[in-house]
Amino acid sequence: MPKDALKGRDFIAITDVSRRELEALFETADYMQKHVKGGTDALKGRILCTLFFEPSTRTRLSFETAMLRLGGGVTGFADPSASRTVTGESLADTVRMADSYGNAIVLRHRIEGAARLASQVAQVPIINAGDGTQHHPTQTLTDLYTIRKEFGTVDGTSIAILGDLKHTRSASSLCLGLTHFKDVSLFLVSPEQLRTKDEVKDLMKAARLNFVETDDVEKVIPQVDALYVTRVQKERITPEEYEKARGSYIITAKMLKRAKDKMIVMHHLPRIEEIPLEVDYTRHARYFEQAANGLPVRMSLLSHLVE
Amino acid sequence: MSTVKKYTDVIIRLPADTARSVLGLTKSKGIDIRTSDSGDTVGLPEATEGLLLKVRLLHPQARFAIRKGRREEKLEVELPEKIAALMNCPNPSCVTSQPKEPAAPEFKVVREEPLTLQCLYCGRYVPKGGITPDLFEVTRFIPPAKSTF
Repeated sequence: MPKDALKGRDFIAITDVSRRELEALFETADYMQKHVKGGTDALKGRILCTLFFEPSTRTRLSFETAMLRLGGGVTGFADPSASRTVTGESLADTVRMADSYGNAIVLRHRIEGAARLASQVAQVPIINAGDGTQHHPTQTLTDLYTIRKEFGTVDGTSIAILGDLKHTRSASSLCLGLTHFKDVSLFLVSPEQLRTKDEVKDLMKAARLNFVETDDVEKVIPQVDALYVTRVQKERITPEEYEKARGSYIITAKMLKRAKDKMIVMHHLPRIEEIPLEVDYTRHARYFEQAANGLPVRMSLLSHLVE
Repeated sequence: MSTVKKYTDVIIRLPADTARSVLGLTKSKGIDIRTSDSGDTVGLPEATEGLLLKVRLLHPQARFAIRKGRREEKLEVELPEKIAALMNCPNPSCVTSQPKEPAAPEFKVVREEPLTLQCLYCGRYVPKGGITPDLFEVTRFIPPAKSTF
């Protein structure tokens, strides 16, 4: 059996892996689906260090559960105030310690490039659980897996990403993730001031990923297979801009009446008001399944990376 | 061991009212500045390759030459693919902007026209007009070169 090319690698950005490696991760996630309740002993005796310098619910819980379901152990913190960082310890020093204790490190940090630096000071694999506004590769793995599971493939699908595309790392990361696939039609739906960053658009252009920028969600809904909704990040824009943006992007059950039968609504969660409860009861809602997919996907990732 | 490449009798032609910005980049003596409405000219008795690169980044329209007697010979200051430990990232949220972290600022030249640099840590483009003289004051500790990019 060939050596797993992912073994021992860092996972900082979704573009760090090839299409073939993505498919291998998805296939293992299919296998892990059978073990999300019973577990395996694939990583027995290994320790995962989870360093969360920013709040997280799904990402942290699913990583910790994934490691436990793989037979390994977990240490770390969910609140940096409980660590030495409050006394001014640097990120690099904290990572060096975790490096000596565990077999892999999952890191979330508000500082942009934190995961890249961590990968330079640590010997064990660093998994980026979100840094800054650009990368959240394990969310993207989960998102792509959800689309693949629904439609059999990501190739040839038509996808809209909606909301604050400038500041939402899950949105930027998904755009980058879609560059791995063929014949994807991408609609980037946002108000002018919250458009996707040039850094991301340039990479999509280089990968010849077709995308259209628009602010008209009603026009886009009938055309897509998946509508990926994000929260407008109130804290990053002016109150006037927020008021203008928020009303435009509340997805109602009525709006979804014009959608394709099999269209799915996705959200990286938490949702605030952009998807009202009524949508949960339509055939289109997939955000809870999407969140649940985070477990087998992270089990797959850990089983491939951890030595 | 790498050696610092130096040039003598360098002439830099810049847009009007911009010559002063070069003064802050060097402690060299004998700098000759001439200004006019059509543009400024800076004469440097000596300049390192790094200094010329800084001027090129600060003023993409700058033109360089070497004085050879009464003649001038055009000097091409080429942008490398990557620029390491020469300037800070203007993004205050970048890990290279955190004084305690051992991360040396490193940029990729995405395109020359218009000049677009991308920080290899935070991934952000340096915004238009974002390269200012103060970015070249790299006073922090720079760890030994071990680029992983």
